[in-house]
Amino acid sequence: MLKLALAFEFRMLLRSRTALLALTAFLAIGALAILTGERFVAQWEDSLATAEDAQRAMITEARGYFDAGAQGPDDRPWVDLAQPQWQDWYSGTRVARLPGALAGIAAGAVDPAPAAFRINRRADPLAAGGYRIENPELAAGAVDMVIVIGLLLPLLVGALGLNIGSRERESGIDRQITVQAGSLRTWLIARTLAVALISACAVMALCLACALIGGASAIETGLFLLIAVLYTALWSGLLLLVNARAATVRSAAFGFGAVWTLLCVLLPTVSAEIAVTRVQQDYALSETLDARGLRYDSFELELDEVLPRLYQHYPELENRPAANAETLEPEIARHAYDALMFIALEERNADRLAQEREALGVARIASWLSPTVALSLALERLAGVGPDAASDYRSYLVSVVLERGQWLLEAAWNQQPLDRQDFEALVAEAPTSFSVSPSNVPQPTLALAGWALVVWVSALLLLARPSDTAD
Amino acid sequence: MIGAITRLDAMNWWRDRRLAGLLITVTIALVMVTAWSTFGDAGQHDAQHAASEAARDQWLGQGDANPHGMAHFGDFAFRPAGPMARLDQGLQARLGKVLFLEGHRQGVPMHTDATRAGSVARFARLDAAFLLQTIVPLLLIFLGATNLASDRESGRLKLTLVQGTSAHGVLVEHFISLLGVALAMLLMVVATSLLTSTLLATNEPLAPGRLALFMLAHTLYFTIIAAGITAATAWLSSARAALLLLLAAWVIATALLPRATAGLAGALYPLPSQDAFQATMSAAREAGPDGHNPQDAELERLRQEMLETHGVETVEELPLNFDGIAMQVDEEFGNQVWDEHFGALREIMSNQVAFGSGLALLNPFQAIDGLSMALAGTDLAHDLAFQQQAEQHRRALVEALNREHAYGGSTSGDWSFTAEAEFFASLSAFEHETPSLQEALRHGGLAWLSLLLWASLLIFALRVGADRLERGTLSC
Repeated sequence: MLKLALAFEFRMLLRSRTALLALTAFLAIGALAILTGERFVAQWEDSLATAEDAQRAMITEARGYFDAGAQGPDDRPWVDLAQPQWQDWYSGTRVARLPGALAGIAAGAVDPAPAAFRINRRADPLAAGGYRIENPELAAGAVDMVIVIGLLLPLLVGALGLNIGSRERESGIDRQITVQAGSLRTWLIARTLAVALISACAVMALCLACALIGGASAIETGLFLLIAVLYTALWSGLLLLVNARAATVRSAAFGFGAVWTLLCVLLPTVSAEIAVTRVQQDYALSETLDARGLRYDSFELELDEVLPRLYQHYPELENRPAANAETLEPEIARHAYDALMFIALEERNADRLAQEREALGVARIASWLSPTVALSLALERLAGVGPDAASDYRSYLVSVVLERGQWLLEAAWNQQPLDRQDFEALVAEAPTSFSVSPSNVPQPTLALAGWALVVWVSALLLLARPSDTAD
Repeated sequence: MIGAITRLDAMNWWRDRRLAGLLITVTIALVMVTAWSTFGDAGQHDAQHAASEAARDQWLGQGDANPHGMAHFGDFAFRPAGPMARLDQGLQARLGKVLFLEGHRQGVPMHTDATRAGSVARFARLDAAFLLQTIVPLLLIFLGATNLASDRESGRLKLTLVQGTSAHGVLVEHFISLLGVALAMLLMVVATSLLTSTLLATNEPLAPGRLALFMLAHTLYFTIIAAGITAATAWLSSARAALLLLLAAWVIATALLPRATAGLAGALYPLPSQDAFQATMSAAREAGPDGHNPQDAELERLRQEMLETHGVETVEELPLNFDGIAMQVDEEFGNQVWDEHFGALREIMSNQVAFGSGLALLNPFQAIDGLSMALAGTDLAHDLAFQQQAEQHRRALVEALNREHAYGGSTSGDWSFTAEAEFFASLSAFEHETPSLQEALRHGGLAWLSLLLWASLLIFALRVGADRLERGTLSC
């Protein structure tokens, strides 16, 4: 029956200008989304190249001073490369965030993290903004694969299969089909599966193109295809559910339109409203006024008040030469105040993570309530773009800044002037780039699978009711 | 007969359980969403005031301090919500809410709601404007696509025309039924917002000029929708064809065209990356004076000039603090660099928006979207005005601090100098002034034109359809 339905649907597709137009439009917009994704990745890579150039320039400059036997630039006599803070500065360390192979599929995501971040003793990863300068009027409407699959794929499924069943009932040939095919129910299921297959082929072609262009691994490609196929299955199930009842094509269009509006437009919009309202009244006082207050208050502290806190947090420093000095030189003492900022950074990041966990909770609940939200969540995580990926990168940056802080404190507390060898070691031990791997994809994928299963079972149960079929 | 068709439409909608359910659901949703938005907007308004006051308290709490130290201590500008954000949240979730203002550098607005709200922030927000512009037209399509078709399919249309009622009259009545529903919803939104504002006792009333134009723009938009639906049902022979065509038009206008426009505008007028922009700015900045570097060549020339002018040998002998002068020279150069680079950035953004506005001629949805945000004060132009005002405040503040540093009674090289707390208290806090209605509408000409053109075009199509129905060249 499926083979027969598939041949039938294929002939219908070739005959129907509307269906052909819908398929062509879907593929064309998909191609546009792939290009948008490519542009997004290219800009990301440009940012990385800019950061790499800047890092290289600083290292070259420092090496020049070492070669010339100078402590720093002539017009900045306070610079001394024998001090840890200047080695830290001139190492120009940038921690790159490498784009994943499928980064382009979520080009329209809200992603607040930079492409590369400079590490030094003053670095504050929590104050880092995204690497894109966005025109908010355009950012609110990017066409990426998340939109193509999330919003347009259901419309393609609808355009190809809205008349299944209802057209037969409208024109009164449903009895004839029952006689010829044995069962209208089987015929409807077979035709819906055929539509699902055609739609799946179209979306899989786009997914494979993305994966090939981005050089995705087999696992990433497999996951991408699985998510797209699950979403196709879900919407073909919804199509079957609507067509099982619809007496006319008009009522099928009404029903499918209402379902699409509810699931693809209203529920995601309600989720966005709830999520944004949660933070609408938060003017980030903890990261602005409170952080500044903390910084200035710490400057007011006496060194005697600072050192116990320093040794409590970094007990290993008590074994270093500076710990035994009667009075700390100002160049070393200033790092004790830096340490307070490092400790505060850890605490501030913990607060931010707690906030993000709450936001994630809202998104997770929304993903169970709306398949479109589940799809966007799954694809953003697969792409390594979006708030979750940005949060992972920021946490990595915080750990790297803290490591650099530890290095600074240890170098200062050793009370030994640093040399070229130390500088080269610092450059060589620069933290590795951050790259995302598809993580946390199972939860939204499971939500999609759950939706697909529930919808198909409901549709089959509805079709099984004798009063609702023409059998 | 006049009025009877409108009453019949209303009765038919009420009798159809699905349509009545939809009508009631959308009505309840509009009331709830408007009340919710107004409540949220009032809360945001209070939070913004509280944040500004806390920043002022922190500034005043510094007491006696070094003026340049206070330039680095800086000030914060907290972006207020748009004057009618309770009706249209616009781009607010994607705009930075906090701008740090300090010496030597211009800040970038940070802490957008979208970055804190998680993944779902990529979707549009649910507010009254979203429902009015996106969902109400869909409701009208469901209500109106069957109106004339059912008249036609039941033979009622032919009977009505035979009885002497003009086709114009029939179409106008169907058009009025739809427009009436839409306008009732618009009035309900405004009434709910006003009522909620009164109950919450908010101090920010809806600006009457903006509100009147908001209602006028939406009335024009609903005229387009109602005329388009009625014309489609008149021209197309079946309700099915009309419904499918109207649904396709709705998807294209609300979901596809705006995104395609955004993609095209971004591709035609690309913005640099943040890193590239900052690198270019830094390079340009390094070419000028560095106020913190006593060996800076340009400042050295200025120093010599001042020594000659005052006839002294060393800067310590000057009757002023040269460090304050150096900082201001550094600042003014930085301002020039910023104006040049940020100006170029703004121009690219303006080109992108202008491109979008041009394409709004093709799509009335984009026209009303842009106009509504502009009137609500939640569009890019209002955000840029906020940034510009904040930057003017920063410049005035830093200049005053540098002047105090230079002429407040200290000598060059004296970084221990402190100005009195009263001086810092005399410097005013940042206060945002909402752009006037004229400024808000400065870029809205094409959007108004688009709405007027589409309304005229579709009313003309309706009229021609009525003529053809009367002549019998369209089936009835």
